[in-house]
Amino acid sequence: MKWTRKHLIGLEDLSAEEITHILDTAETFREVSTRSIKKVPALQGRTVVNMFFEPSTRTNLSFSVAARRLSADTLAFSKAGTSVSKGETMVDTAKNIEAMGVDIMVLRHTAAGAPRLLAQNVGCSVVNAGDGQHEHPTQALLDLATIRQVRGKIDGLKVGIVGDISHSRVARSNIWGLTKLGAKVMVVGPATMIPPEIERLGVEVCHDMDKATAECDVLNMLRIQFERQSGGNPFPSIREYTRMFGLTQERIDRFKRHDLTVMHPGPVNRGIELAPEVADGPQSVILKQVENGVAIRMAVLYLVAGAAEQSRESS
Amino acid sequence: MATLLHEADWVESTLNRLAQEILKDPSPGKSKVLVGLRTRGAILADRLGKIIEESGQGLPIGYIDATMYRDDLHTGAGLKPIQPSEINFDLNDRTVILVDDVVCTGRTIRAAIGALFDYGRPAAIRLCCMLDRGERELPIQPDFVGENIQVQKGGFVRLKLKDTDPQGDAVYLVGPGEEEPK
Amino acid sequence: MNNLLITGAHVIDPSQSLDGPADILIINGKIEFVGSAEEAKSKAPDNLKEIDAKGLIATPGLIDIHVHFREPGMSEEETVASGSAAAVAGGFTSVACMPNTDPALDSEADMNFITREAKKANLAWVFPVGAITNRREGKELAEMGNMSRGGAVGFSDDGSAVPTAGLLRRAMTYAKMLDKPILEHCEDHTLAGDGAMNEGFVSTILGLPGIPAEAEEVIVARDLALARLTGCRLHLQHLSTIGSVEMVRRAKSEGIAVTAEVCPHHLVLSEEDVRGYDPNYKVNPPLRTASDIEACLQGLKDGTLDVIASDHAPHLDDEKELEFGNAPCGMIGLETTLGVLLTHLVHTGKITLKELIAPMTCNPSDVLRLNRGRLEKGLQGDVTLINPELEWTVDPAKFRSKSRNCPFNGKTLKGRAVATIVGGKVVYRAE
Repeated sequence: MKWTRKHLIGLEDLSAEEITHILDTAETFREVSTRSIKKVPALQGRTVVNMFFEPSTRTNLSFSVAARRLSADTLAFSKAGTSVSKGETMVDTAKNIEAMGVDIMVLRHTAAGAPRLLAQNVGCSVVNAGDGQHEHPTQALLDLATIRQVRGKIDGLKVGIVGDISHSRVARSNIWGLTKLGAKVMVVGPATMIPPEIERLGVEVCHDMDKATAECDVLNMLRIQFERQSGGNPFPSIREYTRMFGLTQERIDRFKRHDLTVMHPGPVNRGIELAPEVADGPQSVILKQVENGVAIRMAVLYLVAGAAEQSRESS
Repeated sequence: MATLLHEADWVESTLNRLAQEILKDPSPGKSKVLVGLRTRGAILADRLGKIIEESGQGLPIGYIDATMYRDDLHTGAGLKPIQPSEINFDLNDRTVILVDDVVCTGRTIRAAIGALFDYGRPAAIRLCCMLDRGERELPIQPDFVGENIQVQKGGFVRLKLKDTDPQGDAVYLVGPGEEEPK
Repeated sequence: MNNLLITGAHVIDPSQSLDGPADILIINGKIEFVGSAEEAKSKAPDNLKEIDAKGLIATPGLIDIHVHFREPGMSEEETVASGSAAAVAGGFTSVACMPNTDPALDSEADMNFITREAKKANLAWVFPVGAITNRREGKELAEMGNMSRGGAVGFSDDGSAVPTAGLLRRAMTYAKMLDKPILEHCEDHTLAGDGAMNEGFVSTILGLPGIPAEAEEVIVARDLALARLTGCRLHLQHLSTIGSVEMVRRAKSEGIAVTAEVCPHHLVLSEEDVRGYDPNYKVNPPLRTASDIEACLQGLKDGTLDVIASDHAPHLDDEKELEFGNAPCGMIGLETTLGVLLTHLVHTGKITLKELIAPMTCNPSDVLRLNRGRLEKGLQGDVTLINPELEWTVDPAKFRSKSRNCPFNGKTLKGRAVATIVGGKVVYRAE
């Protein structure tokens, strides 16, 4: 297949073939990071700007490393807080930055739909680095790459996503990606953290962590954020959450699931959603995820830049 | 229809000849290594390696995909799948025999040389190719050549290999507007 | 002297079951006669101004009892003057404006201010609705008696529901004494939270916080109970869900003094339209599902929903260029309501023209006792002339409203008001 998209907004938009193409491309870039000279000239002379309207250390860093390994120049813009109703809007800011000659904008924003709005208003490529509770496509892609790396396949696996599904863009992107590539998906968490009608995406809803531990090949443990919601907390206490939905060594042992693959998008709340011995244990692939994060982001930047240049050539 | 230029025996005998030339080459550095350029150059490197091994002198073989080093992102060349590079040995102070199927403008070779230098500092790089179209745009010349050929403007030459192609080993000249054998 | 003879029109006045050719004679700004051409001519004085309305539909002047004119406080979005111009351009001769301005319209002086501004603009009749509570804070009652003297036709804290049942009971008991209706924005804010769209499958996919239908329905249920308790006339604003329509239907059959309204967007747009994250589709109550639309249509046809009102809510382009979640709710509607409903409901055969006109004339007049919405002798000479077949494209640059936030921008519609007559004076003519 040939890649033709100049933006990456979400996995909802992508076909299984396109997702696989990104994963394949990322495998070649994974090799680059293992060399002593960790750099290729593919995006030499191009400029990538990280526009972060929501704080994030890891994703920001990972995109910067990826862009630099492709020899692109990188700029960073971050604006904390969300009060954009007064003063400059995101679109205004972006148009100003674009005028400096930017090829790719990597956008993280608190508002769902912001990358689409941006793509409609600028000429350069837009890569979604997480928009509100909507999508976080590169996180899901690196999760897929990690699963494929350690399990050898995705099709036919059962993957549990555990935590606050309602507020998770990681969960949404993972559901799109996993189901498109043939995995079965189980979303696991308190009933107050499961969004309405999620079953219509072809996923199984489960409120029983024992069942999830017993049945899943992969468990992706989302970070729990207490005191996040305006309407009060969706569960009574951390203690209760940990007992009901935390992944502990005891749980893994009880179901003899030493073949389980344990993932976490980070940063881990040690001892809450994930026990420290599991996070550091043999089932954990958390560091592989980070490594694949750089490779996936290199692949995405490389592909969208290529498609953008091609569309410019042909127009 | 494309024109059949050479059949399997030509490919086989040319590979044998090239293998001998590579062996005889007074290369600087402590030893020689073969590096094939993806996709067909990698297969050729394997086949050359096998012939050389049968003569009793195994050489390390690596593979490289130069796509990430190309200067033509805008042509969409890189939007087709890239394959991983595999060089599992040290290049420092060795002579790299870079293997490709067809050399033309020299741009791919330039990209490949750039890629090799990210893996180390070879004592020398030699270029081996089965077919040389000429038409160079950069000052790059192959050291070991199967055959020099001329191609009509708008056409191309295709080396088919028994390892991947249903036609088996063969060389076709494909004129403008003609289709290559699938 | 505002004398006028409208000839050759097809007159539709659902209040009198008029549906046929008739001439309309207006003398001194009041309806004098509606009937045969000969009789109209015989009653007409000499040198009378005439409008040839052949091929057009004539209805009582359209009434929209839910608009936001943003004065005082947000006059860059809309003013009473610009809103009045938008109203008559859309065929509306009377509007009722909501008090959620800045500061809120909660005093007799505020009522006088609106009436004065409307007189200055001299286009449409503008009736102020006063706030139920001071500053719309939902704490203590505003001076409803004084506001009535100042011309308030009803009371509403529109933008939010009255927060507690106890306070609402007091407000309704008091309003009943004044013989004024309470207009309620039905939304439980604890259920709505920071929701940006209808809660359901689409909100789950888009990752936008949802507002369940029940956020509206629990307030509808509470308010109906209090209407029964107090006997106060209750008007439920912009209803949008199956459950709300069913509850109102049952309450009416039980004899509770309730009326209800529906907005054009809740009859023709759904949550699916939000998929592109275009903030012009962000509105409160949110666009619901296809089944909710169907229930609202049924409610309109069987009279459960009495009134169609635009909830004309102007916002600056700047505000609507924000991300969906950060953009304010609301869309303007005065200049598109008639065209949208003719196109999507009448021309598609979902409702008849007569079924469309009653909720836009006599019914809203009755809810607020405006004594309009009918072509009866002695009433104001307000008439709307409609060309139901005229195709036109919604061009935001041509809006009389100061704002442009409309989901129908660029859409082609069939049918619109071509002339608007207020008190016998032509205040708008389509070019």
